[in-house]
Parts: sequence; C-alpha cells; structure tokens
Amino acid sequence: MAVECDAQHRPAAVGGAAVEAVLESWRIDDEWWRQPIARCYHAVILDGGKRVVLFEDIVTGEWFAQMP
Amino acid sequence: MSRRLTSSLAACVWIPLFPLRCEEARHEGLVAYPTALLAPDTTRKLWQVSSLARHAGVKPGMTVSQAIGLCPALRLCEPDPVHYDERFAHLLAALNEVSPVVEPGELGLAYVGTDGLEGIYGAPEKVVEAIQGVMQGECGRLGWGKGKFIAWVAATRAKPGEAVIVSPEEAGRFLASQPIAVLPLDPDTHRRLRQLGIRSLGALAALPEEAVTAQFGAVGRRLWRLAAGHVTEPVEGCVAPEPIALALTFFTPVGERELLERSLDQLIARALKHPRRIGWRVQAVRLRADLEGAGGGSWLATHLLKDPTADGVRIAAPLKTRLEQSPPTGAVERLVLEFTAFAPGTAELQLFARDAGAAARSGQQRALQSAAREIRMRMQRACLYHVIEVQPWSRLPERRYALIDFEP
Repeated sequence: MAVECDAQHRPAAVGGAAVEAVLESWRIDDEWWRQPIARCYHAVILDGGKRVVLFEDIVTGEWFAQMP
Repeated sequence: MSRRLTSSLAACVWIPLFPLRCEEARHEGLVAYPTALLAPDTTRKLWQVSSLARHAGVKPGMTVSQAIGLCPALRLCEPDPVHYDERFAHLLAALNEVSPVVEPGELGLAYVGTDGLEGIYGAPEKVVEAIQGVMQGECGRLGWGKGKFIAWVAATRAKPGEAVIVSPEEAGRFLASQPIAVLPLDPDTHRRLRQLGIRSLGALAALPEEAVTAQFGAVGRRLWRLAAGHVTEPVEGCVAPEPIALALTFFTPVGERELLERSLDQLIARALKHPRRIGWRVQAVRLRADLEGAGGGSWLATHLLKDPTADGVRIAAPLKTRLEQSPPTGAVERLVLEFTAFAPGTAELQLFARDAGAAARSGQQRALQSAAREIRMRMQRACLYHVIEVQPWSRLPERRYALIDFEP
C-alpha cells in the first residue's frame, strides 16, 4: 500500500488521499522467539472522513491497511 | 409395520470415531494431518480428534483456540451429521447382505445377529470374514460372542481391521479378565468401584450379587449380571418392509402419455403414504402396464435410484422419461406401481434421522447444499468459508479468527 510519511515518520497520505488526523499510534512486537513480528499501527482519518487502520511492517518496511 | 428378528449370537462391528473417518474418506490426504471435527452443537469446541492431533495434546471438548495453540497445523472440519448418517445407513445395508438381523447402535456401532449363519458360512471365523468382506474398506473392529455385551467387549479388544472371537465356553474367563471400564458405567459409579478396589469384571462378579445390589441399587445388579456373564442380550433386527404395490385399472384403455403420467403421480403419492413405507426411502421402483386386449402384452420399466428418496417427483422422473422415450406399444388397461427396495430414511425423512441435531437441520442443510453447489458452479471454485474464533485475545487482529472451508 502506498503511504507517504511526514518528518516524524507518521502517515501523511494514503493511496493519494491526505491524512487529516492521526488518532492513535501503537507498536506491537511479538513472536520474537520464532518469526519476529514488529509492527507500527496508526489509526488515521483520511480527507473526507474515512477511518483507516494502517500498519508498517518494521521488518520489511511495507505498509498495510488493516481490514475491518 | 416391520417385524423384529432376534439372534442370541452376535457380531459387533465397531468403527471408533466414525464421523472423523467419514471426513478422512471424503477429503483425500486429510489422514496425514492432525485433524479435529468441530462439535455439531457448538463450533467453538472440538468433538472428535485424530490420533495425530491427540499426540499433539489436542483433546475432545477443547475450545478451538486452545487446540490451535497446542497444534497450529491442526485441520478443522465442519461436522456433517447427515453425511455420517447416510454412510452409516450404507454400512447397515451392507451388513444386511450377510445377515437379516442387524441392529444399529450409535454412529459406527452395529450388531449383526449370526444365529443360523454357520449353515451358510461355517465356523464363526468364516462368519466374521463374511462381515469384513462387505464392510467396503471401512477399517472396523469386530467382536463375536454370545449376546451383545460379550460381542461389544470383544470388539473393543480387537485391533483395527481385525476380530476377536469369544466362544461360549471361553466367555466367563474372557469377561473376568476385562477392566470395569467396558461396563456401561457413569463416572461416579466407576470412581466408587475403583475406590473399592474393583478393577476387573472378575473382581466384581466375585462379590455376592446382593451386596453389589445393596451398594449400587438396580444399576449395580445389572452391572454384576453383565460382569458375571448372566445377561445375554440378543441382537434385535428390523426387517426391511415388503414391497409395496398399487394398481390403477382404467375403465377405458388409455393411450395418452399425459394421462398415464398423471396416473403415475397419483400412484406414487398413494404408495408414499403407505404405512409400510414410513421410515424408509424408496430405492428401487417398477412400473408395469397391462396392455389392451387378450394377450395384449405388457410394458415394464424398472429403475434403481442412486440416491434413495421419499420425494415423489424424483421417483417419478425416471419413469416419465421412460414413458416418453419408449412408451407402451398399445393402450393401457392397468397400471401397477411397485416399490421393491428401500433404504433407511435419513436426510429426507427428518423424523427418522438417527441424530436428533441432524434431523432438526436437515431441511436447512439441503437448501444450503444446493445454494453452495450453485455458487461453486458459477464461481468455478469453492468460495464459502466459515469464520471461527481462534485466538480472540491476540494483539494481531488477523490471528483472532480463521477461515475454514464451509461445505454444507
């Protein structure tokens, strides 16, 4: 998923739509004993009011949108 | 109504985890994986688990999330009680080829009466071989003895695909060495017997009958009598109904196909209401027509239904096709319809399904099956899934639920 980030590495635009507000951010580190999972989650409001939960896979650097 | 036949010599056919075996037979390669069947009443708990899953610590009654936690490779199957019931009905029909006295127990358990079969097959070993021969590859355990209880205990001692034969002379010694767990005990009685130091049927039978009755009541008396080999419950079979024949005589001979088809519908509707048919689905049907004039000849159509049914439209369809493709060569004076073979009623006759849950759902199940078939045809793939809760506590949202194939 195409995500542009601001200087603090927070999502600024998602798929061409500007991010109006970042509601919440949190990080998950899990399963370090086998295939480590490290993600940075952001709940954002896009331009137009749509709420999306995104996460960045810190291991691969890829961005994903969390399905509802 | 059907008569009952009994037999004191019994063979017990036991296929443990029958529903799970049905799933393994239906899904190729499933046997190589740890597998569990979800409970029919609540899909959040496991009903039956394969030995591979058991080795991984998975047990019946566990929640799906517990089981997945212990064995991430676990394959989960949706229960399909109607299918299990049908497969069991086929097994019973196969056993009926060996003996007319077949008594079904729970799914995967059946008793075959073997009185008189020695005249056909010979020694009990040969009778057992004949039963194994008709089991269509079902890897069941077999026990043979006098009465259902000894046959059942013998079956529980047999290895898969093998048989244990207990002759009447050996019955006492055989029973005495068996653990009390083979008795139909509730957990409380089992615990009390073990607390009293009674571990085997021999130890129980060595006690005075009155003492056991005084301690455990009527249940105890029955247990003592079973342990001592004093109870010989015969196999009670139910005989399939005699053929049902109904006739319609026309005042004036009929040549029009439409009229014959209408008459056929009426005959089928009347035959389906026949009391002998209740509880049975029609498997073989025959339509006979006596043609006009002395020596006018006759016309006959027979059909064996691949799926036994109690649905008039499905019974009539092949006969109507035959009427259309090769009609009688003359006008018909008399039309006779016969139901000549039957299969035990299951999916369609909901009242007679062996499993009460299946009975309640079977109507719904059929509608679902037909809808799923249509979707599969349109999409060219199975795309129905069932959502189950796996790790509701997980911080990773995609771990909270899983999709398993949904095959109604």
